[in-house]
Amino acid sequence: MTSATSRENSLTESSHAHAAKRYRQATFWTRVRLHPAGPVAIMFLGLLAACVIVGAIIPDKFVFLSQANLSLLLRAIPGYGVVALGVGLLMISGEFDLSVGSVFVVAPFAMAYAYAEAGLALPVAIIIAFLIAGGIGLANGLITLNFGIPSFITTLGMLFIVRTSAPFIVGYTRSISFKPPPLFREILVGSVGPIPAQFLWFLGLAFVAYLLLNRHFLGNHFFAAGGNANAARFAGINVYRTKLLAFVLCSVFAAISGIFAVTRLNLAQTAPQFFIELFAVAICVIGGLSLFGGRGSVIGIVLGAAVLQLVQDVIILSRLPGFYLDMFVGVMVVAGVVINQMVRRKY
Amino acid sequence: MQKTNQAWGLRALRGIALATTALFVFTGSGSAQDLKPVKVVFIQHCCSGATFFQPMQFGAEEAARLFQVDLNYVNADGDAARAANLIETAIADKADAVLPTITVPDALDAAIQKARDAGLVVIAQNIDDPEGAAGNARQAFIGQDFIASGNIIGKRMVDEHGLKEGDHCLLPVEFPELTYAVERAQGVQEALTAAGVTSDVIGTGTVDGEALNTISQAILANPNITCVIGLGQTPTNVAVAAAEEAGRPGIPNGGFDTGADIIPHIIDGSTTATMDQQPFWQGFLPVMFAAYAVRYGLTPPDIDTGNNLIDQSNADLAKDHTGTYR
Amino acid sequence: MTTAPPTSAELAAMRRPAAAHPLVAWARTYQATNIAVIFLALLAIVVGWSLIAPDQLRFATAGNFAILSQQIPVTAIAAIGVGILMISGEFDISIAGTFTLVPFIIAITYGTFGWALPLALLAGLLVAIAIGMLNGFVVVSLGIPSFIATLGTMFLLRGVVRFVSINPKTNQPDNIAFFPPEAFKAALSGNLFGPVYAQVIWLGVVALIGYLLLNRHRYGNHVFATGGNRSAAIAVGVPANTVKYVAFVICAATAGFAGLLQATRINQIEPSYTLSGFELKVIAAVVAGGVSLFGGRGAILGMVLGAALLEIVDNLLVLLNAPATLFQGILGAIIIVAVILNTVVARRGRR
Repeated sequence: MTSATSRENSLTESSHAHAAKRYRQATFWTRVRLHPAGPVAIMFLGLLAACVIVGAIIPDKFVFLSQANLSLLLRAIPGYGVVALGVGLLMISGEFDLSVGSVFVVAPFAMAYAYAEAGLALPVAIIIAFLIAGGIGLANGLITLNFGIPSFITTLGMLFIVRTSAPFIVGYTRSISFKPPPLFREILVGSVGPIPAQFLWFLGLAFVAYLLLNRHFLGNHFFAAGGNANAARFAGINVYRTKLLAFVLCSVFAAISGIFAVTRLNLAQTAPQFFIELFAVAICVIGGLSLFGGRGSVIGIVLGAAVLQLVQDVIILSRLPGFYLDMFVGVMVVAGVVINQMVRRKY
Repeated sequence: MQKTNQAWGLRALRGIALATTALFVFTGSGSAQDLKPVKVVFIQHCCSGATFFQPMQFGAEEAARLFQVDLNYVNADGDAARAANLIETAIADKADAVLPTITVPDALDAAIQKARDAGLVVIAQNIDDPEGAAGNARQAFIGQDFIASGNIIGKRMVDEHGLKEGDHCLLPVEFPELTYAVERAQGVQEALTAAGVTSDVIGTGTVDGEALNTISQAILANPNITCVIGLGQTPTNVAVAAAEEAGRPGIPNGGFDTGADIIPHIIDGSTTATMDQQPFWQGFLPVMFAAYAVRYGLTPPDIDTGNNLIDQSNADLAKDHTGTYR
Repeated sequence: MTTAPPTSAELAAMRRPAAAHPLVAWARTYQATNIAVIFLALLAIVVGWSLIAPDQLRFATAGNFAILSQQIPVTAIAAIGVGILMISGEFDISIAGTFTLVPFIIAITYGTFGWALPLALLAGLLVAIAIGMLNGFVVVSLGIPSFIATLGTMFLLRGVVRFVSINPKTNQPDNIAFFPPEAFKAALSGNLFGPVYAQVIWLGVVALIGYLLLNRHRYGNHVFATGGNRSAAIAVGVPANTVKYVAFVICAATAGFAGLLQATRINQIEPSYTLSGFELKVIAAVVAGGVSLFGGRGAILGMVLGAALLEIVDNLLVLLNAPATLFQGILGAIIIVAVILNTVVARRGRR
């Protein structure tokens, strides 16, 4: 018996050793590449390193390392970043939301209107903004899920409907001065030392999204609904309710981002602001999320937002003609996605 | 929880019926007093919702109320073909007058000629044919020169801040290829070049926060930027905050349009001046002249709605009426 | 003994109810049935109303039809290209750039450089093919989702249009005038008779070619296969990559041709048209016309009728004095409703 087991053991040992050798070949780098956020992390670190090095060598021509610039970057990243968090959560569940561009404008406008014109208390005004955003998200979800039409179309239509209904309801295109109590403004858009408060809020919201996605059963449901809705249903997950929740969350995140923007500018307008939704989707794709759902990570979204702003910063700091700014940014977005694909495919 | 598809389908059909009925409600808007309403189609060349055109719509609607005009205010969405379609729709709809904007020199010639042949009064507003009255059959033009307005604000910035050779101005604008952006840029750059000042146009888009970031980063990148002249409402509005965030508060800035925070900035001195092209007049006057031309045959005159340079000395009235009359 | 047990024929009939009339069965699966029904219903309502109460709604007039016959073909031709691409499973949101750049190149080579017209048209065609190949390359060879890839192309084309349109005298982007020979203009956008314009004929030509390509040619089979189930298509030997490249080129070519039609009509090309939201209108028209966003299903007639529906609704809103602020919102609502009807009614039909 001993001989048999020892022979077994030696067999298994050698196969173990063989397997272990092969397993070791799944190196750290391979695991990084396979992680949804791996490529974007590599891109981000690479870009950051390049900026730091160039900024250190020619600080006059490329003012990357100045406090003003870094502060600006940190302040800029949450702009599209918070919206992208919401869009990303929904994308993981397998749906799109193009109406965030209008929610971003309309919900904070409602808040400013309630606070400045109707004289309601600030918390009430904020709740109104969330209710409106949630309502729009709910409408998106109900129409998409009950009628079974692609969310791309529902939210595209909703983008137009919400965009035009705000000035219509208020009577005409308006801008409202939003002057909240200084404490509120400080907390939302002030600075903690050199770090802008918005960035800390962004990290906080990202952390909450991370907990939701990775440490809560709802996160599992999001991934399941996006990955394979039928299988999810068979597994007992209520895909309908899961996706509905994702739609509402997406709009609420957009409203939050809008509230930050409005507080920073002290101003809310009904005038449409274009392309927010497209950049949010682009950030998600750069960040490793799949357009078909079921794959992605919050860290990817955060890094994707950082990469987008970094790219824009680089283009402006290198004094490329500002006349073509959006063209450069657009092309770099595609380049970012290309690099993402190439890095992932290498394995 | 999910109703049957049939029930939802029926609900949808009911909704459509309701919506169609709602559309009926929009027919006509003229008031019936003693005058028969004059039917006027006002074609704003751009987009609905843009802040610059708000006083124009307000003006057109006010004139419609005062002069018993059945006003149909439509947007051409920056598309000359759509503008031509709208002119021809006005003809087909038996309107009495059509008020287009001549954004492109030759695109609307045929449509305007057709309108005149059909007996409509045609008055151009906001932007005119570069060939003026010889360019097409419009009876009058009410508006003013974007280029001239650019000259004025450019010259004002040069004079007030002593800009000269070696200075560099940043000209942020939402979308550099739109007509207003092109002509304002041309005007401002003419004035700046005359003083030896170099300048750069940069596209910022319409998202306020992003425009703020873009302009701040541009100021940061270019230490030789000594002034910022926004060519549209979004950049002019955020220029002051951008300068602060870039660590160079107090850079001379000015620009165009009156919406949002621009007037308060002028009142407190952080913005030098802004160009008010008085879009209210460009909405009000054409409608008024059209009404009188249709009813009594009075020929509409050309009117230069003037360039109102708003600075600290005259900003107060503007402040109270931003978005409506101003 | 009560009733006799059912015969095998009766049992068979119970299991499988008698087939409907073949025409009805075909209509149930034809992708464009729904949009055709919606379109005809709308047309009937609107024309009827307009004939009964011409003072309220002047839709059914020669003047109004003239406008529609000039505008609908432009959107519809672009919709055919986008539709074929969508059937193969991809998007193209850069068509506004193509729509502007191709006629721009033609106008510059013909007007400013003085080339002969056929040469200028060839230049435009080459530009359209190049744009299509670029899109195809990024999507097929680099594997980027077409939504993102064509988003990048859209920004790229905007920059190119801005660059190409700079007037050396003023150093600013400028509109370019396009005055082709009279015969050419008449052939492309001239008035044929009454309210019918040449654009309608060209729409017929493109639609016919599209129909033949999609339904009577092997390529059409390949397109449906690639869009429906790419792996299965590749497994049976369909060259999916080539199919997509060709589809992107078709899409760019139709968008460029539509731009040319528009340019000969108004004698001008504006660089700012890249910002007009044309691409979303065309995609909405295609989806409302019954083409599936996921690929594999669609019909040429549907694409044309979808475009026609959107243009007619727009026309109606103007005629009905609808508040300008609400135009886009109403169009958005119509799109959602059209797609809902398509999906709901299609599901009923398939049961």
